[in-house]
Amino acid sequence: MSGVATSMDQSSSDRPPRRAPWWRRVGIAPLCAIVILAVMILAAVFAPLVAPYNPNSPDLLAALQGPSAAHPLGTDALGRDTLSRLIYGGRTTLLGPIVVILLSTVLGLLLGVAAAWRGGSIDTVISRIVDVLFSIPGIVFALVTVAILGAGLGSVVIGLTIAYTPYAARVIRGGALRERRMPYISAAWIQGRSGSTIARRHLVPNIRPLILAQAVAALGFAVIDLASMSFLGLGVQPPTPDWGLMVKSGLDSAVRGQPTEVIVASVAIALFVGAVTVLGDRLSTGVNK
Amino acid sequence: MTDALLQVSDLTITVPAGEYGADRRPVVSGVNLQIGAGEALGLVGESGSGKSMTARAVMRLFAPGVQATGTVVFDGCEVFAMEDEQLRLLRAHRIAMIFQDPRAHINPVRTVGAFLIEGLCASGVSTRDAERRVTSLLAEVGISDGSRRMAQLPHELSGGLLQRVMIASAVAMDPDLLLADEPTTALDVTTQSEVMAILAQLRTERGLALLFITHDLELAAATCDSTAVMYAGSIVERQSSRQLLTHPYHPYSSGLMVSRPDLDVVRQRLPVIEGQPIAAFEAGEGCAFAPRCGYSQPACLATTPALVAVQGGEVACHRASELQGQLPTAMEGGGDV
Repeated sequence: MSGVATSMDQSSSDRPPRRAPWWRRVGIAPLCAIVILAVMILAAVFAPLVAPYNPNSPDLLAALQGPSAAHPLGTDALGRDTLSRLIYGGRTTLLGPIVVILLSTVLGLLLGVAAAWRGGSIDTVISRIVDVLFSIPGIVFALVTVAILGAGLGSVVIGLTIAYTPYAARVIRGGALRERRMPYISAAWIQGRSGSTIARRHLVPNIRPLILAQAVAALGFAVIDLASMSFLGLGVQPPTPDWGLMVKSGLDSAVRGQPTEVIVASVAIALFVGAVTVLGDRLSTGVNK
Repeated sequence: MTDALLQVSDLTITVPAGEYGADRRPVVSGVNLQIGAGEALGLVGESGSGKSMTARAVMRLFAPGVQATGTVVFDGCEVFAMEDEQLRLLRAHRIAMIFQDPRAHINPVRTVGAFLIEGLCASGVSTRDAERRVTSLLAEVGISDGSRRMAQLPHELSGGLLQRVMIASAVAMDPDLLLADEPTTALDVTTQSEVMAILAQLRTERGLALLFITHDLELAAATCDSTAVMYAGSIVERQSSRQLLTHPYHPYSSGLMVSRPDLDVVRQRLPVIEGQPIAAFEAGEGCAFAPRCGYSQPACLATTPALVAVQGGEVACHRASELQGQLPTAMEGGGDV
């Protein structure tokens, strides 16, 4: 083959010009979002090292205090340190939604890809079930599972997972349907790959950005839904620290003249949801590009 | 020719049309062709003449709703009657295909190496052995720095390189038949000749049979043992490439050759075949080419000519015997068609 091998294509061996560092390309708002999320998650993970007090040790003599040097964010009605409760509360407040999103994305991926890939009656059945689930608000599912399994983080997570799966399934089905018609998929058929191999190794990697963007966008909603359930007393149970619970107990404190706790907890939830939304927005622009 | 490697008989492909796909329109009608082991057949025609459909039918790959009748026999096996698993093995091991646009036909998010070794690994070769074999294959198709290329993603390679990768992947499984669907159309002329040289070399080294689909009649004739010309979903002429270039039987083949620019003749305007190419379902009674044919007579519009054997080939033209030897080719300087 020497006659052929002599002339080589040079065009692709040229390196592309150096790209701007990644933090420049991400943009300022998404960068802030990443920093906020990183701080919150790290603080929650390393709570025992970061928190100044035991979140559950009451000090009735120091109840309902405003910010001070000893308690930077004040104390609640039982004199527990609000900053410590905020840091520990991040664990349940953030872990619950993350589990919900992980589970619903995996389920949605299985259902969505199965529907798009198999088509026909399988698609019809899955899509109709998804449509029916869509018509019921997510919080209702959580209420039903709480009614069956009793209040607690676990039952709320199960309920919300069922509620969030249709969203993931629909988005992923749409992406998979579009991707299925791409020439490289028929090329893989022609090369004698089996259907499951093509779906797993070719189709799914190509819709990965879509899956990620959808998961991050849904995470914000899941945080609000879970905090709502805790606020209603159906999710995380006291005395476990949780942002949704802190909003509830903080409201009582606010009535008694000390609004610090409710403000701190609300701002934490808003900041997290806002950061997740900004990040999800940035990720989906990347997908549509 | 019952011992042909590939025997396509009376292949008709229809697509759904009209409201709810109630009507069916033919895009390929009654195509017969055969390729012996190690033989190369060129399939030439304009866009929409059914060339690619025919090639995909050999692999039994159809878009949803498309129906095909007729038979495709590959090495004694009826492709349309195969079990799914049998068909998968046929596609994986016996027949390979390369495409006009390699960029669209290679998964964009996986590396070139992953694309190349996938077939070998699926048939039980270890990753390391597969990589070694693929690297030497890449060298064979003119990519000397194979190991570096294999770590790259498809978008990092040029079209010409990617087509070589495609060819390497096609021959990696040592197939008996290669379907080449306009493999050089998207490439510039220099790269085109290199790719054609690679194909020719692989063919002689490996005894590969080739179905070469192209718009370019002269390229097909230069590459292949015999050449078939398709018009409106049917084969209008088939004969040995050498003879086709000098003695076309069908006015359409002659028209294709005449309308090519010539290196030696300076012309203000190239001669053209008047009118638009039509699809199979647009053809009415009579010869599909008759409305555009300079030699048509009332009889041509009445009945559809059958593909009949003539000396050295087959032709579907009512006036083939009258016109024999009179049809111009590019080599004679051309004339009106």
